[in-house]
Amino acid sequence: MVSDYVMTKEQLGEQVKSLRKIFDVVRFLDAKTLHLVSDDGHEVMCECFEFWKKDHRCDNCISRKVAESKQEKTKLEYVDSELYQVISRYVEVDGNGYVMELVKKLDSDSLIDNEGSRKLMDNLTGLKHKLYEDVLTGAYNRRYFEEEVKNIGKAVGIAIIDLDDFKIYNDTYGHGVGDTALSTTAGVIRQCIRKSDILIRYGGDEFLLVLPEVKEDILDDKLQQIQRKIHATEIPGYPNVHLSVSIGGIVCEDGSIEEAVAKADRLMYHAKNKKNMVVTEQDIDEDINSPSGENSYSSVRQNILIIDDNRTNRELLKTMLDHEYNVIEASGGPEGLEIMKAEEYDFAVVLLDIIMPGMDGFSVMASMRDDSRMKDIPVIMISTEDRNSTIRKAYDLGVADYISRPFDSRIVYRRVSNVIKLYAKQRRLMDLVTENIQDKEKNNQMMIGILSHIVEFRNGESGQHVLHINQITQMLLETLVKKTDQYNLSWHDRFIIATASALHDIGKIGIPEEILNKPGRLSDEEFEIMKKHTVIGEDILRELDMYQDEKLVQVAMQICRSHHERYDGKGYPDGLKGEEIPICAQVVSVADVYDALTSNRVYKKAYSHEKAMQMILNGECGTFNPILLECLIEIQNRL
Amino acid sequence: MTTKECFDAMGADYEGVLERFSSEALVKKFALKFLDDNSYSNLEDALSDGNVENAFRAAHTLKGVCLNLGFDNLYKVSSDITEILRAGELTGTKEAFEKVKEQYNITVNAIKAID
Repeated sequence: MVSDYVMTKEQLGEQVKSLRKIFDVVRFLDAKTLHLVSDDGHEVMCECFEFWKKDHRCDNCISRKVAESKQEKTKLEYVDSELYQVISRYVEVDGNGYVMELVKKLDSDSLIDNEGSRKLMDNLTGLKHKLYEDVLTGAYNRRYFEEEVKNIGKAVGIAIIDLDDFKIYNDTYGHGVGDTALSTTAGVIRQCIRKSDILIRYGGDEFLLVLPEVKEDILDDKLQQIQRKIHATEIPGYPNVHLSVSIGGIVCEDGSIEEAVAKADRLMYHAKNKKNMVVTEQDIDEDINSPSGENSYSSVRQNILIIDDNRTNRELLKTMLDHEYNVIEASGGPEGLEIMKAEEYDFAVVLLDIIMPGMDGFSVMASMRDDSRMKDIPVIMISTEDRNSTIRKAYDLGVADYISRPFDSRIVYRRVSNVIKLYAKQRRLMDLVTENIQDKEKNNQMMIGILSHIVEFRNGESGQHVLHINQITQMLLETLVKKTDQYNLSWHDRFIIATASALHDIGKIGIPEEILNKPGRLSDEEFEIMKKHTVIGEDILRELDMYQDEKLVQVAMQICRSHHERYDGKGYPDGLKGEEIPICAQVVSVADVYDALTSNRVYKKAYSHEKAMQMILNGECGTFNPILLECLIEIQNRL
Repeated sequence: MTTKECFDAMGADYEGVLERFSSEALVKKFALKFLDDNSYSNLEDALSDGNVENAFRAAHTLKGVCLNLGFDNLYKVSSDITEILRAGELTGTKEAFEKVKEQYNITVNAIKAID
């Protein structure tokens, strides 16, 4: 058609006549000016877009394009609510270039069917992209899976990739970190896959990866690579967040995607038992062929112990569970306890019968609770005894659940797997909290250490002093509470005192350097100034208004002020006597004196341990609480 | 006889068990395993020894197995004797055991007839 755009005026007249039968409008635009031209070739001073009831040119003006490219183009245009089809054709009439515009109103109600209309909409608006994109991760969303992937109908590799401990991170560090973990994970996966592979955010912390035309071993390698790469990835600023994923993978030959996804999901749950690992169907096949194989699927399987004297019941339960778990049987209480004590297996749950000869289930429970090797293993009671008193007693002893007879295979499986998941999650949560607390604790200790070291540094002392005082204080306190309970010191009190001991000399920051570091003996005047470091330390802490109620600050204030008091009232600054001196300050003063004697100072060399002990016990460094001196003697071998 | 016919013959709930086990093969497998179950013979022995405690446990186990396998008729009579024995008494157990024995034989014979 394009080739026959050259015509004479007569030929054009013929064409226009027949075109007008079909089209509502047939009109011409001058190819150079794009002004309307009347049939007789005269330009009409009118902008073409007036026709469309617009006050400016159409953004998608095809006539201009056609004028340049001399090809035919078609577009749709709305006027009010009516839709028009516009065809622009380049024609040359007697050597002059025109664009012939053919306009036809479309019947919008019967225009296209629903499917076509959706596709059209998607295409026209670019909505398809937005509609199918997960905003956070840039992966496809679940909708894309439902509408485009589910019925893909060809052989694909399917993998479910689930972020480990995502909920815990989200709750502990906030959603911002959770979001970053998700987008980081998606980013790493994208780096590992081909352009034709499809990454879908399938659930909150779950990705679905669809890999067209992939062989089983390639799939396995690919998933291993993803798992390793994610594990090696860090989230900047959050060193405690160790990203890892559990992956279940399967090759779907017949194209029934939904089934394959369900299978991959089950495999992923196997991987979840250990976390940071990949389980594919291959692993399971291998496991069947080599049940003893290292690193095979059996190593992922969790162990369940069934304790029941009746074999039929044991076998029945085993049948219901051994497709998923490694089931160990014991025919009685003592045998069950032996198996658990041997620690050959790490049991995820124990199924326990109550009425058994010799040792009943209640006694087994009691023995388990008293043994650290077993006390944290959840127990599910499986007894015909359905009397409330029995069930109550079992719950009182701490069973996690109760499965009544008759056994229903699906219910047994569900209950068991729920208990296992719940306890596993609890354990992981506890580990994480412990790790976090230890971390915070370490930071606290470090801050206090730095603070006190500033003082020591100015004093020309090594940072070891604070560390030694902390250790000696701890040892003295431990020994003290064994000797007497008159001071009523809990574990927490002792911990606070040992921590606060680091601050005993912070007041020295307020002492002039020439006095502080004077190598020789201090004059009386200088010594009076030096003594002030006790009250200065207390004042510094008192001015920390916002922490006044903190036990650590209160104890540190006592230590600062009173660690130079002596039991006979001859110390400073207050001349307190005996038990008037807070016990925390008494303990720290003993620790301080011992460490000062055994260390080098600007004014003295270090004394030996024996000499220092002798000096303290002889009262050369002032009088101390006799019971604390006893404690010092007891711990001296550890100093 | 099919497994279902066997269950019908002994007054057992085939549909119920099938629903719970979700496999015909499993129902048959465990019905056949019942022939090796020793709770009935334990009960018989304990009763002839006059050992109430052992008899109670054996009856209790038998009751539990029957409940699991859907052997309704045998479950009913073994449940009755369990309650008598739970009270620690041998009085009335002779009659109760006769009923257990009767149902046990019906059950075992039916199972033996499975193809």
